[in-house]
Amino acid sequence: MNKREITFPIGYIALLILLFAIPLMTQEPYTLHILCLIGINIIFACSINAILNVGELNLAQAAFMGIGAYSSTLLVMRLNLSFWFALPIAMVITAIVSLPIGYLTLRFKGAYFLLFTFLFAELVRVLLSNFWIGLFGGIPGLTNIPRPSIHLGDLVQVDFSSKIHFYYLILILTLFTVFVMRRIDRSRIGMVFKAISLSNALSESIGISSMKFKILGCAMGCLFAGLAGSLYAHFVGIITPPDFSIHAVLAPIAFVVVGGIGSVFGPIIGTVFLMILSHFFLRQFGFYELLIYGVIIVLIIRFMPEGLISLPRRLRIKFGK
Amino acid sequence: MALLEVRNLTKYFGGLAALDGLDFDIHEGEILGLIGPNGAGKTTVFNIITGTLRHTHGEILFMGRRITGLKPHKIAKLGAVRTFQVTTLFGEMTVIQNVILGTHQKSEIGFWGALWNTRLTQSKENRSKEEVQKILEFMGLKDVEGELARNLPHGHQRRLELAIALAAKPKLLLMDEPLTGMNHEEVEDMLERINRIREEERTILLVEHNMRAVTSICDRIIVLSFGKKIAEGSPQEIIQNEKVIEAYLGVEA
Repeated sequence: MNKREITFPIGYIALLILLFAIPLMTQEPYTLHILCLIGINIIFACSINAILNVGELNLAQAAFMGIGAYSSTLLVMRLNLSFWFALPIAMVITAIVSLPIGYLTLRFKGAYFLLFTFLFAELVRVLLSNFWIGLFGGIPGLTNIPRPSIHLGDLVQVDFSSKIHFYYLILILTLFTVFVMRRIDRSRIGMVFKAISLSNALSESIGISSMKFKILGCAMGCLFAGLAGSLYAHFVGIITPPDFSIHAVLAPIAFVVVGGIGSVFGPIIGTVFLMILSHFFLRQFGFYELLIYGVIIVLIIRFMPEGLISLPRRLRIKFGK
Repeated sequence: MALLEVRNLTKYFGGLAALDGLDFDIHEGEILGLIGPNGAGKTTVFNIITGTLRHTHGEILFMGRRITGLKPHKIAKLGAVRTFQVTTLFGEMTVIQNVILGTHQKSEIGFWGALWNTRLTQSKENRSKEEVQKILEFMGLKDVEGELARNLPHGHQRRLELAIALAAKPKLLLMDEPLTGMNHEEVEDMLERINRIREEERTILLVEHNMRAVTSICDRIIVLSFGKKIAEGSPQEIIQNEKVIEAYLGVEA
């Protein structure tokens, strides 16, 4: 029983090697750019999924990503803090902001919760657009956000203005996110989260405080929304309020649903599949791109309501064995 | 001192008094039956004790502590654990996971402990696993521990509900119509198990429609009608009580 998980199937190792080897195979800026965005979106999709795990869909998740992005940027640009400190601080700020919001809104369920988070998302957008323009930059947002760099004496000098370096940074942080999410999912806490989403009344009846765990799940998700936001800001270099409006959360919700709600790997598969589809394959269709994209999403949800993650199981059932 | 004291409990739904100055005690180690015709207020009492419903007047003391107005999970933590009238399980989880969740509160495994999987957590996990196995065996669910709860037959599901509640180590077990929808054999089986739970010195409040079952298993019975207590006593006394017969069968012309 003391044995910690050392099971590491060959498939995972192969995948890891592939992921780390991609920049050796292609250095095309567009490909690397999209791969970096995929990584950021995976982190973000995981954060949406973390809150879905306790049974609620948070429409303000992009707003929390925005809080992470703006905090990180302002810490670096106004307080001249190093990115390496700004990143974790931005994550913590995002999680802390989510605590009172969660406390106020998580007592509502379903449509009411959606409405309150919608309101919060709009509130954040309006605040960032129209208030304290000297600080937040108003509607044009903040530009020329510096890319991180490492300077340790004369020996180690890594400048992340190169996409390849940034790719590795995002890859490692994405893997870290997935690792934590899997850890939670496999632990007793993951079980309690699932229990609350299955039956609130039964959870309460055996002494589990559903509010406490919902707030915890929400804060956990927002911690990683903050991570996604901070990475996004320093990767893209420009942030504006619409980047984190209610519209920004819709595509990632589709990623989670198409991949498979509730599982750890579902949102990842959904993000990778849909982003590769739209950025590499559907671009040639021009005006029809979004139309085809939409039809594909609808078809997947119609024929695989549990998401792409259920595909192997479905195939196994269909072809016997 | 009684384990649970209900004092002058009153509940209005609008202008309608669902409970009207109800008083009763539950003593340690007994099975108390709460019966009455439909709409007598049994489930209302139940929901107020367990914190899912707010009362209008009066108070409830559990082990001498006022619990009226506390949240359901707080009351459960203190040791008053309920089961539900409509079968309520974590349907998408396995039987064993359901029971493990029942032990969660008492296992004292915290968030960080679970995340880092510390040695302390592991020893707590092991202790809780032993308990879970004991409960599964006790409730006759050992063979189906890997099944999803929603796939179990009805009788097994009701047993699982009870197993979850037992895993939470209740001092007072509140059962809301545990025999509903069961066939004769399942009823007999359940009654035997309830009897065995009592032998472990647990206290039980049983709300039930099945008269024969209630009179065969309870030490004491309280009869409610229109939110008031109309009779209290041993099963024999209750069966012969005229007010009870009247409430159940109507007055003879």
